[in-house]
Amino acid sequence: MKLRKDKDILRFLGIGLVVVLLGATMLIFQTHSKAVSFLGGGLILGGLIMFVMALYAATKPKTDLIVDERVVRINEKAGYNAGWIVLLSVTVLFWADKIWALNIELEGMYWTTLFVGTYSWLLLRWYYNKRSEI
Amino acid sequence: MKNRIKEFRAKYDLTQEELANKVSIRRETIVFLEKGKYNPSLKLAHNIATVLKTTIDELFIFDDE
Repeated sequence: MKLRKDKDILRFLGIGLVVVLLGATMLIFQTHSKAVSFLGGGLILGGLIMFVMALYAATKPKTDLIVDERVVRINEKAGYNAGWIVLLSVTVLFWADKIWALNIELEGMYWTTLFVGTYSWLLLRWYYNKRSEI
Repeated sequence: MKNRIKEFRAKYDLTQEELANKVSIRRETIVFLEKGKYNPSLKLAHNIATVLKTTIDELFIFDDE
């Protein structure tokens, strides 16, 4: 596998590495505060995600990463339909809660919304990209 | 909508990647355009026609479908 080593990729890798190191430093030197430990863990996770994203981008030619009008159309259409799916799932949950008294708490509701919204958007993007006719 | 992008691209000895670079779009978009599976905006159609030294009318074949 050939990896690109241009300035943008190296910068992104560098930032990811710095974020991971910052998170690790916070975890090592902070033992009392849970909030700081949580932040440190979050930074490590975020940095690792940046690192993986940069490596993924490095395997692709630069022209495959341009956000052209087709990509914009795909994102818009996927976002529009994901929005409807989220609305539908929230409505179903709301009425299911009303009818069968499921006692769904607000926290459960927003995790569901986040999960359904994110995954339906990603799946729809993939589908519209494969289907090609936008 | 059919088009003659592939024909014009061959005429000027351009690869899909080179044409994509010249009009700042993804190579994948050129692939879908050539297959007639993507209808470009007027601006993109104009840009491609300009790079291929032709007109939109020459490049794109508008049928009834």
